[in-house]
Amino acid sequence: MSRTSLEIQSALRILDTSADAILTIDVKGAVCLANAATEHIFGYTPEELLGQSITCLMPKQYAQRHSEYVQSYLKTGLKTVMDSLREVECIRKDGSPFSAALTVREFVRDNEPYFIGVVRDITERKKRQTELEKKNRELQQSNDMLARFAYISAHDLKTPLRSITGLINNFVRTMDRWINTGTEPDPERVTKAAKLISHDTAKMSTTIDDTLRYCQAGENLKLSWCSLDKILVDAIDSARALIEEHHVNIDKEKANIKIYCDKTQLTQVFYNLITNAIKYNDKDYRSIRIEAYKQGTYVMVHVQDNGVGIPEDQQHKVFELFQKLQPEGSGVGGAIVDRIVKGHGGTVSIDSVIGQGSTFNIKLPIKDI
Amino acid sequence: MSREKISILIVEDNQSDIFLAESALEELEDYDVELIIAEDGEAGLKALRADDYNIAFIDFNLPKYDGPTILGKVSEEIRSKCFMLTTSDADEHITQSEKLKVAGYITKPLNQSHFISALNAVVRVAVSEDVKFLHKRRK
Repeated sequence: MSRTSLEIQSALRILDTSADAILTIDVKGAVCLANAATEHIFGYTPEELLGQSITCLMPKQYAQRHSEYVQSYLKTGLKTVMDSLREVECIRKDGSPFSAALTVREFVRDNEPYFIGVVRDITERKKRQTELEKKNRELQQSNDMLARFAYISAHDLKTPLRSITGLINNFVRTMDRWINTGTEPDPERVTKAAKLISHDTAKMSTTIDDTLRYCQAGENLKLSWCSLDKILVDAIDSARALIEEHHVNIDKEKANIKIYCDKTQLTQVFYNLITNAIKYNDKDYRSIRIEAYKQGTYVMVHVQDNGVGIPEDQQHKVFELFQKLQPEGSGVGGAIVDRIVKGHGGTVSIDSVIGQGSTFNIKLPIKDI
Repeated sequence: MSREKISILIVEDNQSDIFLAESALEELEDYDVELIIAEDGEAGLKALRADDYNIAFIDFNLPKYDGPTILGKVSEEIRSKCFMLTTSDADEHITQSEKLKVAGYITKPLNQSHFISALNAVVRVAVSEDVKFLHKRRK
């Protein structure tokens, strides 16, 4: 065998050890060379590919334009795909698409232009990237929640704690005075102080419970296929006492929709929305209308009330922890709705007219991947 | 020795803080305090406009109108000497108070003895004639 022949044989063997597919094509796009990896990556053996148009490995939209791109390059010398690493979609022998990283270089032989391409299957890499991005999002959400929890613990618990400290300190003074000077304390004042301490400890307890409920909302979802109608009906039933107390009219059509979700948590969402709709309403005739329908791969649920409405600059407060719109509010119902809906990959928004009412729009994926 | 009679208005919504202020004022040895309490900003403003007090203690955070808002709405000629009540971790409250027509501010301490000493000092200064002059000059 000639020396050149030996070199060629060695070169071909090197090409065959590559895990990436390596192909060369002529100016017409016909495959001149294909290494062994094409079988693993595309499903075609090198022999099957020789002489075939390279467009058989491309998705239809690109295949149709390939010769255009080649001609355009030869005329203008403008490199678009060449000399850079690009992500492209390829088609296997069985017709299935996959993501690939492609590099293309030109070389000249016998004064003719040829192109050599290296194709790497990046399906695994992309999958891992998507998972990483998802984990990062979850981590960011977790961090945000911890930051909020820290702020709330410091702030909302400090006030009652300060009061308790002051009252107990005052009690000690009172007792010391009794011991040292014989000045008797006023039993009514002492009792009042004790009641105030009791009230403040209850307030702290509620704040802690609310914050914990908020932290748990949207986490550890127990997912299954559920009937959306059953969820809405259960939420209405849970609010039965409040509905009857205020003689609220609930208007809801049956929704024949199945959704992949955490049944308990979604029921909580609609319970919170319904009870809020009833509470923030000063009309004699209170009504709520619930509408649910599919929209592509999502479900839309609108909870509409004829309540007091929410000013636009205050709407963001509805979903923030402990940002109360009214002093009697807990500041946690809306925040829990927000967390659970987001935990399901959904969104919630408000449309509102002061004096007329508000509509809460819940958008949930039928199945969040 | 008879104690001097003075009137004090407290504008405060926190029940525990009201209780502690009441207890502290009861212990002022040199003064016989007539205490008026307003539990939100609106009631506080109404009280300030309705009458003159030797001293008005106004809490920073209140429902309806907060402390600074009340002071913004009240007349420049007001005769009640106003002090802002604030909690210890609120630097911006103190800076804000300096811009308002208050005679001074008191941070509510956790220790009742300290509170009583502070109130004693404030009351003594506030009821003296010198402070009237001071109050006008701060505008």
